[in-house]
Amino acid sequence: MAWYDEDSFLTRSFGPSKFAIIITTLILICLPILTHFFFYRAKSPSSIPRFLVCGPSNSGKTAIVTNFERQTSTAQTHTSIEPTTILAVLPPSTRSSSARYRSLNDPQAQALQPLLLVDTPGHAKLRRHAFTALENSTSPLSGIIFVVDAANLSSERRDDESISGLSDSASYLHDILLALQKTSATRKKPLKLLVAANKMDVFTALPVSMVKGVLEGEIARTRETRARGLATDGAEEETDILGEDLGVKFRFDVLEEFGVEVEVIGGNVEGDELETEKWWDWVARLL
Amino acid sequence: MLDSFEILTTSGVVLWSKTYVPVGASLLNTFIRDVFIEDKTDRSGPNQSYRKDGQTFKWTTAKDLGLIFVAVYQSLLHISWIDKLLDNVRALFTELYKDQLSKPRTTKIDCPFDPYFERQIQDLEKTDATVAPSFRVTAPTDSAADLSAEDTAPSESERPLSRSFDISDPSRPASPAQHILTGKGGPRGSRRSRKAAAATINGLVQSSGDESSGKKKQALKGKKKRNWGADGYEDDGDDQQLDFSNPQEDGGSRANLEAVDSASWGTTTADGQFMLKDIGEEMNEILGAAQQKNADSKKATGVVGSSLGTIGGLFRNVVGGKTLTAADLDGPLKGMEDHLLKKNVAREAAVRLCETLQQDLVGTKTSNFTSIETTIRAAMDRALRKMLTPTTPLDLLHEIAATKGKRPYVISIVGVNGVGKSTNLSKICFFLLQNKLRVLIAAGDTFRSGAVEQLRVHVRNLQELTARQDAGAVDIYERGYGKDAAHIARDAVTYAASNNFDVVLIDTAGRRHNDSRLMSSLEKFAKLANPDKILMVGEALVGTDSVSQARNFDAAFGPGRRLDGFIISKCDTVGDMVGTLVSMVHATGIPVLFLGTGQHYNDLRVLRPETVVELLMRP
Repeated sequence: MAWYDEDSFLTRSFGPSKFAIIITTLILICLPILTHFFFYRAKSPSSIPRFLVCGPSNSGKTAIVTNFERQTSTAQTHTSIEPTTILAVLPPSTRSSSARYRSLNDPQAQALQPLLLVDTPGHAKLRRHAFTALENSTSPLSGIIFVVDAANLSSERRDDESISGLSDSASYLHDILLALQKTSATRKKPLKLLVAANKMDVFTALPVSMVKGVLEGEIARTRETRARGLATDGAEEETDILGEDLGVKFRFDVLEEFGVEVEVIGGNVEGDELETEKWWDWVARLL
Repeated sequence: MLDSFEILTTSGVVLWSKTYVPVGASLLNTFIRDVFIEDKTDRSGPNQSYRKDGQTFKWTTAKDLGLIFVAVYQSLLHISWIDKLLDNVRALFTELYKDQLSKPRTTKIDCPFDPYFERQIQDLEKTDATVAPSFRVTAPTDSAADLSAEDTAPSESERPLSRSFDISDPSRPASPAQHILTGKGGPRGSRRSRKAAAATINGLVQSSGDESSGKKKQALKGKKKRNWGADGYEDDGDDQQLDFSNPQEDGGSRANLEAVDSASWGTTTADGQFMLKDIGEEMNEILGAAQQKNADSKKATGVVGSSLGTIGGLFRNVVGGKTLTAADLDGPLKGMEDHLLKKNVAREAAVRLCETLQQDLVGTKTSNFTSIETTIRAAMDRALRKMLTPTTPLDLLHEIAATKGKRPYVISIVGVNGVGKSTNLSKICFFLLQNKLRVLIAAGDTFRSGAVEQLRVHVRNLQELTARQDAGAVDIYERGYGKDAAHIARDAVTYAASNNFDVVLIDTAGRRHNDSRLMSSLEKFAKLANPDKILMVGEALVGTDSVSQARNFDAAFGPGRRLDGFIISKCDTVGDMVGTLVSMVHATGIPVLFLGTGQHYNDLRVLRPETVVELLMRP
């Protein structure tokens, strides 16, 4: 029996037989559904707010992230090599700003508010992970947490370091802020950046107001030398200056013009008493 | 003996650790930085190890799960079974907690791994110390009676066995570890606890001994770690969770206990005696399975198997999700190596780059709809970018500003003959003058005729330019020919200090890098002039020689002093063949500070890794 015979399977499958119709209908219905599942199953629901956690190496980013996840304890951590994203929930004691007007007994208010924390490595060679997360336009960030080690913000260089803790933190923060300034046109809402002054439990830690002061001073110096520095190979455009006007003394407030609101809050995730409430409050205000 | 063993993720979270002697966290951080980020050690070969401060680090990785297993021990000791231990622990850990580890977006892992680990150490020591005199002492009978109190009374097993629960994850699979706990409730004293007690007694009895017994003692000490109280709880009450049999938060534990399948935790012997299943059996099963898998993947030579595999491989090559093996990577990596060679990367650097890439990629999965070639390109892109990005961002002006007013900032420039030392020196001088600094140029080339005159011409030009632009000030310090360069350099620095100069730029004579007579004077030079920055000029035109140039100059300044950066000159003459950059940075790990890109004073640029990588990867 050849394939073109009247009784062959090919003729039958193209003919108006009940069997062929059922098969075709099934394929028609199932294909889009299956395709949908294939492509969208792994994709995360985009509604979960994302926070980027960055900062110089050894400032305690991963420790803060694990503390946010566990809430009561902090995992032991070492230098990170790869970025990671973790899912944390707002602690019941803190209420997100969107749930502000809800009654205490509203079951909706009891529901746990999830949030994603993107932890990035702080080593100078691996900082591009943070910038890629920053530029990722498919899911805009809800906020940025820049972690600094408040106990390592002196301009003196320690023996085991090739750069002082202050200039390392300041130049990284400068780069992040500059990247935010460049993309300011694409944002509708101002983006909040939290400078989390970590390790407040350490004896030598600077108080929050001083952390803000020394960072601002060092960023001012950094942007000045950057503005006068050599042109970068392969970059055609003019060097951008943070805050655009070198004449104005640099303060974090200058950046509000570019839709970046910076806040410095202290805390610690190790030691006898963990102090993270203020950070949680900051996070909750953005939810 | 082992000091510490840690299992951590690539994102830096310690999942499980066992510490016998505390190892400083900063030491481990240095290890991670040097080995995994800055690639300071040679990672090829199976016997990879890293030494620092009298400690030896050995490690292995599980790339697909992003895990690193690190063992730390004193360098003085030679522990032959470390590699075996690492492999076994990797196999065990990945198998036991596979489900938890592959769960995204969490760093929480419940891993009661201690018993497995201790058993491993014990087994390995046993095989190792067959020659050493045995000192096993059987526990005295009276102590066994004491122990019976420690074993749980059956009636008390009704209580909920665990208080800490992970609410967020009720679907956690029952871990095989459950029988450890259940075993405690059994009618007979468990073999393990008795052994542990014997170990404790051994520890007491053996107050002193030869080295091997000392080793043993320490190993067994680990077993004391978990103390079981009279009621079946852990004595020290840490929150490590052991009970995995109970998905509910509270209550119902009794029903669960009864539901435990007896076969899963023990076997009944022929004479009706119930034997507890040993932890070792389960461990061996897992290890055996892992070995089997290894052997299978190596074998796969059958006709049907290979052809099916090829078709599947081709398909997966298009669709993605293929687990990469060394054989898959060979061809494309060879292509990549040739490509790098064409871009003027030295062979040595190209080969080593590809080797590291292979090590990093074997065992990983390609992502959806990406071929092997694309994966390799992306990985190479990443590796090159990581390499070219400096460890610490250098801001020359920032550093000069810090020393300004206190002392002159000294920069000296070295290099092979004719690479453009004087030209680049005057370019840097021009850049500093633009920033209103006072610069002194020291003519340290007292050898080649015309060298001093050449610098004098540069200085005259620069003086002319600065006068026009109201920039800084520049002068030359020269003492003619034939004098010792090191002394001239030192005198120049003192002269600059007394005359309020901000920066001293020292030119040196060009020298062949493999002429030890010429190179040896550099050490004295570094000592006398004590420059803040020693920069080496290398030309982009040079090929394979760049590696040894960089290495020899890097080593020439004596112990404790290295090069601080490279200036790559003549970049405008090579187009996209910028391989020299890669070779030099690869050989030494020292960053490229400046690129010379033309004939004019302002043709000095800062390196941007992205640009270079893009030029290199361009077909």
